[in-house]
Amino acid sequence: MNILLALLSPVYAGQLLGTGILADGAFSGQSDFRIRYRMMNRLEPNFEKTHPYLHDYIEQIERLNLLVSKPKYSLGVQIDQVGLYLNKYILDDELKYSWQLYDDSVRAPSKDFLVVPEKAFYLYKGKNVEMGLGDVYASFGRGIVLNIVKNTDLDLDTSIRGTKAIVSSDMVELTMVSGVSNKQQLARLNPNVGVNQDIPHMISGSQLMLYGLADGQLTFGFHGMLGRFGRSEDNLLPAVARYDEGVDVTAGGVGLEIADFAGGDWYFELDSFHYFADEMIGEYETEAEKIAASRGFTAYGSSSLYFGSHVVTIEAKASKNGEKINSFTANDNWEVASAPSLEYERVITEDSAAAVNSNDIIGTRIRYEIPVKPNVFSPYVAVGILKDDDTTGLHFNDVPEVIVHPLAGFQWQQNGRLAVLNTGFRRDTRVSGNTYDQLIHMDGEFSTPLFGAEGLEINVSMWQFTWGDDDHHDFFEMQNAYVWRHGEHWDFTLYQDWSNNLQIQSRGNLNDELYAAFEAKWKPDDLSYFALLVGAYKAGIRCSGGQCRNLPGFEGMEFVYNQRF
Amino acid sequence: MGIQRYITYFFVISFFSLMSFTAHAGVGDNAPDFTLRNIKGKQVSLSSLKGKVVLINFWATWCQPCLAEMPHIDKYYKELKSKGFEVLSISTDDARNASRVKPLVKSRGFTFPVLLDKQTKVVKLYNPNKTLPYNVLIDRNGKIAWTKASYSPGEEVHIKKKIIEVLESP
Repeated sequence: MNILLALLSPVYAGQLLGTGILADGAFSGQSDFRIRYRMMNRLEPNFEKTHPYLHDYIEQIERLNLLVSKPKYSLGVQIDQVGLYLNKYILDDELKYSWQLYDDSVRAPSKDFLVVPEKAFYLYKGKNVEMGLGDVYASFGRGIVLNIVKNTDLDLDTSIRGTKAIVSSDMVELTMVSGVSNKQQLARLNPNVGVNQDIPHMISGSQLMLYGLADGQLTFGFHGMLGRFGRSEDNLLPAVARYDEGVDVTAGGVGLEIADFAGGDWYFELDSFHYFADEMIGEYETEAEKIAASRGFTAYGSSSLYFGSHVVTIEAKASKNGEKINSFTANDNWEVASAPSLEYERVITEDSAAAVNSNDIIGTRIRYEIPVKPNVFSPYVAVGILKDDDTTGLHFNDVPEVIVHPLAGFQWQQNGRLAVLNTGFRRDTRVSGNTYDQLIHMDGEFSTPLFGAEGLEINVSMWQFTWGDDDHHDFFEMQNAYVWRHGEHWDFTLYQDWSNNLQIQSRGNLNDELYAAFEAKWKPDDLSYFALLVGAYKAGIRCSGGQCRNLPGFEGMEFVYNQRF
Repeated sequence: MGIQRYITYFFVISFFSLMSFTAHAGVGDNAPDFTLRNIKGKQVSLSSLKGKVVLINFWATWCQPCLAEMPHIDKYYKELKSKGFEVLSISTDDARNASRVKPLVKSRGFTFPVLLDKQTKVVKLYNPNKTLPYNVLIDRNGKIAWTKASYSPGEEVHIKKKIIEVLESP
């Protein structure tokens, strides 16, 4: 009876804490409630034919994370809920939808209301053993063959729904994971329209790490994974059916870390890939071509050399057919594995996003940190040099390119004031024809206290891109925010974007290029905040964690209530 | 329509019910234990610091506000370590950025222990939305005393005040 009451009423669940099996238990969570009025009264570019009935609608989202933990175990769930309102109309006595919450692959009692138990996990923690059941995450080596972790920066959260075990001591750690992928179905920051049923993929792998070898200087690791990917026709089969089907990919490798050797720290990793699925191998004419297309490798190395507090970090990567491992999941906006990209991800364009996910690339990045006055003034210079031989997929170029990208910047911080600046210039030169596209960019932040408890913060980011001889328009974009802090509890922000990039699918609210939005944020305490935003911001490509996503723009009004407990 | 109405009612009622509950829950819960490797490859457990006031600071190499906040935390760590204050600085960088953590720590001269949570292991227990930076202050009894998300210059004064409050509490 207690369990039934607890399920029906979280208040009753709370009262149960401290009694019975929940004695010594801790109950915590986060709730994020959003309601948006989306203004859609102008046809979006390129969508005039496919969405002829655009009109405004309301979207309401609730994301609830709950966690019960005891010294030895934790139990957590994430429940997402979305409701759409004003998204339909009646024409000739017939109900028509302008914005459908989900497509026919999803079964739910209501057309405009969806509750999804996105994540659930049970973790046991013993002295040398940790066991996870339900939604778990895994990342081996430098993430080159397996890197399934939360990427909330892009509103992505794919987990492995299955089991994970870690057996460890000071010197040895064995990780084993097996399950089917579970993509987060509902978005918190992006529009929830046309949600479709996720088709899970089977992913299994293991990693053995040996720490503290050679008087603590060496760490050695072996890792491997295999995957079987679901196809659209597998929609009706249970997810566990993937275990009964042939393997689509196997990948594995070794990693070696050497600490405090020759004035620095060193890391080397070599991984190989073997593809069996035709969809991953691609087109070929001869058997030799097929064999070459079904194999891949990635080699990655890094070296950090220390000269007092000065640090030089050198990274190098060579990869061929390593990105094919993401062939089935890239369209779903998540990746099974992502190698270190050597790119500056804070400013990325449609063109450079292709290089982030290149299937045939070699290059290096060198960064020199010069702490003139540590933690007060820390400048740096960096340069990335890459040769991208991939011309398929998202690439705009039809011949290989050599990319040279020098960067410089600093962080200065003193007496409550902060200034950060990053600037760079990138040129992608095509190996034939002597033509190039180029990018010049700058982003920075300045923050200072003003009189009394007032404060000012300015964030700017701008970039100019020229396409060279491609048949595209050059463009300039910027994303700025001006924040007035009124004491501890209030922030007032003016967002201002500008873009004449024809690749992005949004238009400004002040004119076609200019966007503005105002946000008031009230933080009554350290555990909660309320925010109200009115206006528009631009769409655009954004990369984080080696993954890139086209984020839609927004125009309208949004109210947010976020609570942690 | 009937089912829809009931589902809506259930969710709305549960939501507000939960909110009313949270008003009473607050902090004071036991902090879930965890074990992670530090940047030298050694295992570090939260439970090994029982009896001390611990600040868990979640950050990432690409997170600019984190890098602005960390020098202050390092300063408080040096000042208050003798009074029983410990810091566990947890890098949430995923595996692909792991080579960039130690150079950043060394170049900035941070002295607190830095742990690697490459597999989102501790983040999902303490900070499921992965807000950065994110601070969790744990008292001498192993209970969560205070949490704070995000950082703006000037807020370090508030952080220090909370640390001292918890250090001085019985």
